[in-house]
Amino acid sequence: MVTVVVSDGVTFTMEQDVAFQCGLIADFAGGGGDQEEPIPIQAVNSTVMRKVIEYCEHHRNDPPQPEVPEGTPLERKDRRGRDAWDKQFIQVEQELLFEIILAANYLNIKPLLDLGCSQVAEMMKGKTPAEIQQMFNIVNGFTADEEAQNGEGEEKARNLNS
Amino acid sequence: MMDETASILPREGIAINTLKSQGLCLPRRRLPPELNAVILLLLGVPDILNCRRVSRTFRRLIDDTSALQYLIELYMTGARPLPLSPTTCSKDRLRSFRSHLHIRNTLVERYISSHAIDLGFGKHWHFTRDGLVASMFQGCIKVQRLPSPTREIPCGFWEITTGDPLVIAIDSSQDLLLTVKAVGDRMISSPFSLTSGKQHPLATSDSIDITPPASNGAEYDLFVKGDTAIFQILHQVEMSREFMCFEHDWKSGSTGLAFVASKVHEGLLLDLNYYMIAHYRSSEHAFVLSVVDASTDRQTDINFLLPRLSNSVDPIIADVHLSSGSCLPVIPIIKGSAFTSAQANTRDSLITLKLMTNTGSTHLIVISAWKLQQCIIQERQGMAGDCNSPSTVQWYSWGPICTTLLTDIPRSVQSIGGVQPVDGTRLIMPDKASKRLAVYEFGRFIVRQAERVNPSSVLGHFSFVECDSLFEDRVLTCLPYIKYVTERKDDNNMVIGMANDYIVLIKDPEEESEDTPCGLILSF
Repeated sequence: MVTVVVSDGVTFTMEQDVAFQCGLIADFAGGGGDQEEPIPIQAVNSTVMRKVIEYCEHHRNDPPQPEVPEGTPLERKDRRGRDAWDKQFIQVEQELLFEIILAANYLNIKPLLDLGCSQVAEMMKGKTPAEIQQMFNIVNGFTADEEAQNGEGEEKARNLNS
Repeated sequence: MMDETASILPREGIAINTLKSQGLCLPRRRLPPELNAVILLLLGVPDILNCRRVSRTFRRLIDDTSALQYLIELYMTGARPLPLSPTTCSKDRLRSFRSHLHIRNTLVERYISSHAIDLGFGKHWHFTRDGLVASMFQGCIKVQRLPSPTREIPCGFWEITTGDPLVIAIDSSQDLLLTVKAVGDRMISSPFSLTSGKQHPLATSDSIDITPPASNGAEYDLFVKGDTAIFQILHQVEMSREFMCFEHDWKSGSTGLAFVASKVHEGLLLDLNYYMIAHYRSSEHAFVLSVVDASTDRQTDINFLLPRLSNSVDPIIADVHLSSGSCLPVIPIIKGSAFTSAQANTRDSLITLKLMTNTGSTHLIVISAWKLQQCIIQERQGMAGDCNSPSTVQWYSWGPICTTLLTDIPRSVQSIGGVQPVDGTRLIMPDKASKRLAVYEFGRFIVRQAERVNPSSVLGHFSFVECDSLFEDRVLTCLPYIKYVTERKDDNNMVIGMANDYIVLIKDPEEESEDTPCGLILSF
């Protein structure tokens, strides 16, 4: 068993095969037997950690991911990467989604990181700049000149699409 | 590359505050730039371009990420790159993707830097003798055939770097500016009027199929689509040697000149900022540099009055060499003038203009970041380049920085036909007749005489190879550091290369026995 303590003081205990999907924890534990001391994970809070553990438990029996050779056609990798459960799992509030991405990045869980990133990409697909700004509450900070250039860029992008 | 504050959630974003107010806030709230890049890599190019307009941080991230630029570039040329798959987009993969790009670029550098002309984004155009254009972008090579170059573009080809893969040719006698652009599998040429800048009234746009050459059965069409083939290119870079021979003899039938050498504002694919036009204005007897703001068409002229000579007529601008600075794309356009050749050097700011008058005098104007000078070399009419004819050499200098009248011009500098900017501060003038090199550097001349060079300063020898095969592997192998090579047919195959502090001189093979190494590398 591996025990971790997250930023808000909550302690989680999990099986080693669950925990070791996190590269960070695997590195921490060093591959040796059970961990006595709880591993501090300051960058993740309990809400997110619960999701992360849920993911890791679901994928605990996954075969180890083979190295994907460069140039593997996209579809093949895509099918394997995102099954229905994953899709359902990642349907979360936007804030939580970013938390999960950050946590996956921090804990070094590649499949979860990929899942989160593709979910964000999915949300951005086909959206106009204004919609993206609204979705992520982004202030564009463009000067008037840059706005004008945007207009031209839009023109070009449209021409390309047509 | 991505150390800037680019972010899906920029600091000013309201989302951050929302998170904070919900108590979800962790010390580091923003997604790090590399994760943003990963997400963008999962998008298609239209979406990436859309994101460029979302915010400054996004734009910056996209413009600064070579992998994204690469995808956009592919897209703009008609390819439809697939978004990278999620599994290849983790941080490690992105890193390895970048290192691949780096390796490729290094390889490409090594093989072709001697004539590669940087078009920004690491893109290069190469011109071959039979009207083919090899374009290179981050190791991907595309070979295109220009539409009937001798018929439609009488004045030669130049490279342009406005962010778009464009070839521009100008025939000022026809008031014609022709752009040639590859779109998908077609080559589209568009004629413009030089004076109005609009569609040329007498010429029509043309679109032709691009047929890869089938000279010796090798596969040349290496341009790739998607993320699969780019890694194969690595092994095929050597093929680019086929295009190491370049047509530098652009003189025949030349009536006008457009030359572009540039450093595109880094990463801005869609934005062309400024460009510079150099031309001779006969009414004022002045050489004019015009800096044009491309977005507003506002033009600022800088006049350099040429000294009046007795019996002087309008000079013919005969030779333009240009070396653009690091900030501005520079486009000198010489209207209504004969010209001989052009050479670009993108390392530092330097433009040299050779003006010839029918009185036999030759003006050499050198404009660089550090000095503006004019050299007038009086040559006996009809005898230019003859080493026995006496020559008068005078230098005039003007401009705020340089006020010295240079007097120590060696008499051997009779013909400046081969003058080349070597980098921003040096000119090299080979004088075939006397077998000397005049090197002009920081306002003074040094004459190198190849035959009498101190043996200790000869750094290497190599056997002569014909000019046409100069860039084949054996030379490249022994001289991988040659950066700037000038090939001048009118100097009887004298080839001069410049590599940092070295001059490489390849002498006329007819004067040497086969066994004698006739290439010298001289310490500069």
